[in-house]
Amino acid sequence: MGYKPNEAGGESSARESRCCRKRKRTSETCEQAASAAILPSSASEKVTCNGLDSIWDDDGDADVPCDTLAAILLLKSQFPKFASAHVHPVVLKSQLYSIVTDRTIVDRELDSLRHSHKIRWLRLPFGTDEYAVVVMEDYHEEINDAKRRHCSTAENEHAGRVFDCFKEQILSSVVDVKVSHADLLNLLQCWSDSTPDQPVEEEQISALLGAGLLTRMTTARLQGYHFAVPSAGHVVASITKGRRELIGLFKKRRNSEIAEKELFSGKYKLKQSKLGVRFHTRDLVGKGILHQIRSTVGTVYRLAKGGE
Amino acid sequence: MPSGRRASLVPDVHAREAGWRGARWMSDYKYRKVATLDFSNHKVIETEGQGQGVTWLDVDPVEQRYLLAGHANGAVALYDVQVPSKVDANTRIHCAQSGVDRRTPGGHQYLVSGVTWYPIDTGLFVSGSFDAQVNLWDTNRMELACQFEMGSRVYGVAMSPVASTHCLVAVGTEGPHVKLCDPGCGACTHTLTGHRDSVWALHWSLRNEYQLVTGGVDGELRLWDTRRSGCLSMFDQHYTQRSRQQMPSGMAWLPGSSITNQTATNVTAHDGAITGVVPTPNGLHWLSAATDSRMRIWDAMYFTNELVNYPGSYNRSMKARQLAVSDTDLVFHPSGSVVQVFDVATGDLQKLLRGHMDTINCCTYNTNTQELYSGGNDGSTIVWGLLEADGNIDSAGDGDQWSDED
Repeated sequence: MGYKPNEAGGESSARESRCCRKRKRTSETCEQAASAAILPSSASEKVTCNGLDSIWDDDGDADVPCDTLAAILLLKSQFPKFASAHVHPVVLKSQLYSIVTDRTIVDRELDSLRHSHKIRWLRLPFGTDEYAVVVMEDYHEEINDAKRRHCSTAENEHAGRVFDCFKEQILSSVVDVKVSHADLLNLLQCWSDSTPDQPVEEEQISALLGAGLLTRMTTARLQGYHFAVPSAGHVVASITKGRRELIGLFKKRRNSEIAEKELFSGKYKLKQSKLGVRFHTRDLVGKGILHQIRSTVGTVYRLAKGGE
Repeated sequence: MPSGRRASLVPDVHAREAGWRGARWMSDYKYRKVATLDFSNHKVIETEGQGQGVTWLDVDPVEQRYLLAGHANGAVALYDVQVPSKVDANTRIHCAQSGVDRRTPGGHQYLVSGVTWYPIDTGLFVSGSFDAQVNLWDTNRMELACQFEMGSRVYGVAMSPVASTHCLVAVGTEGPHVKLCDPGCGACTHTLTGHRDSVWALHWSLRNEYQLVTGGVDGELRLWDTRRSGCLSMFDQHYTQRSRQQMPSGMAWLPGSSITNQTATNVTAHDGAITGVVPTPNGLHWLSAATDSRMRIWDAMYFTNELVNYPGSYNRSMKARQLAVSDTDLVFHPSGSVVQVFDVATGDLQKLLRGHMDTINCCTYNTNTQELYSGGNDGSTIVWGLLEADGNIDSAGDGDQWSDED
């Protein structure tokens, strides 16, 4: 259990998958692995299936993550750098499906990781089955950033307490993507029992909402909140726009297909998304909108019939 | 069709003799056999003149011989799927034996949304329709035996296949209530309140004669016990590990306890309208399909989401859509104009059954003959069968056969 997912970028990318471990840990090999991992066939050779129940390997090699976590770390390391804002990497659930081909295994391992507090599951504010995955350490950093921002403006010295409560109490108690208003009040109440000078106020929830760590549920009949990442605004806007733009690129082409070499050559630049072609290609492959076809000239991506 | 796909028993018997697979060999053999289901060239259900779309199918549970088909124009037709009406050049044609339509006294005026056999005997069947009626029909005389007025569109009817102490008909209506009608007294005896929108999908449990599962447009999947008031439990898509509590103690939603807690009323099984719910043949799991294009499998004992991903189960239905499960752990999911065949345990797509020209509404599996029947908006009912061993019938599609006859 010694593996810490938030180690330095170079190190984590070298540990991305079991195949990488065995190779030389140069950035070049990682790049090769990255381009290979998007192929389901080659990915399935490298990212072999674990037993469903065990997240960690049984062979005593404790720092080898399960396939899904390996895929998350791979995607995390390839997440594009934003120049303007400090954005923590966000991985989409559909992208994982493009790397680990057995969807049932992805679902089950994600669930185990969620319950063991290694990742945080977030619901994206569009579509019905759209989830993002954030590594827990990144989420903690987000909370710390939010706390710093909040404390710099608030005059009350106790203002930052609610963020500590959020980090330690709420995140460990609620692994779901949402929390109801009553539960949230209850949890904050539990926390304030230890610090009786600070009564539970709606202001505390307002602070969390204001910091962007919670968003109000819009469809719910009961009052409740979804968990959120404050800095993900850029990303979420880019996801839908980039998706649409990439589909548009495919539609313009004859037979709606583009070769992998051409697609990732840097020739195609998405105007409305900063996330890059590779990010959106993985997303669309996982959603079943793009098909991968192996041909004599390499892998070709084709738009599925009836795709959006 | 390539003859290599015909399932042969020889390797399996050999494997059993060699002790390779032990007791599982028969189920493995049956599984592979059913996975080769395909369009049946020599068995045709003739739906000519029965009306437009086929909306619901039901095979009688007594003999697995008689098939009921509900139609979009209010007709219900009865077919014998064992004895053909006529045989024409290696094709066995099954015509409608009898039926009811809108001209029959008391017959349905609008689309028939559900038909179900009385589970004990084939002398009686129940049909529900968008004209807000639930009718009980005498099969032999094709006459109306009893009629229930529901007050709003009926989306589905179900009778318990294992009941010995009651013969309640569960009715899902456009209103948020599930009603239980008792043919014994000719009236509605229970109203199950809890859903927030129309109830499209409903099925009785195979393990407990008093338990009923209903799925609604609100995405809620509820388990009821007719002996108790209120909902027994709700299925939560995020409740995945029964050893762990989702919420801190004091506000936990404990499965099995009656739902009174405010927090639990936000629980949904799907993010869209539930279009079908069906138990696995051993009754230990429930399968549900919904318009969020997901199919989910649930543990019937602990109400956990078993997290099997059935890829590509596209669904944009506007009413209930019938699922079928075979006794060999395969689930048949109508999606557009194809029927997808998934492995229940792993979610692997085994096969796509192509043949319908329009959206498929319903499918039902015949355990006796290992056939699947599917009906769609194109008005046809297609038989999906195993490849037959008979050489004559196998070569029926060849051109040689025709020239010989000429």
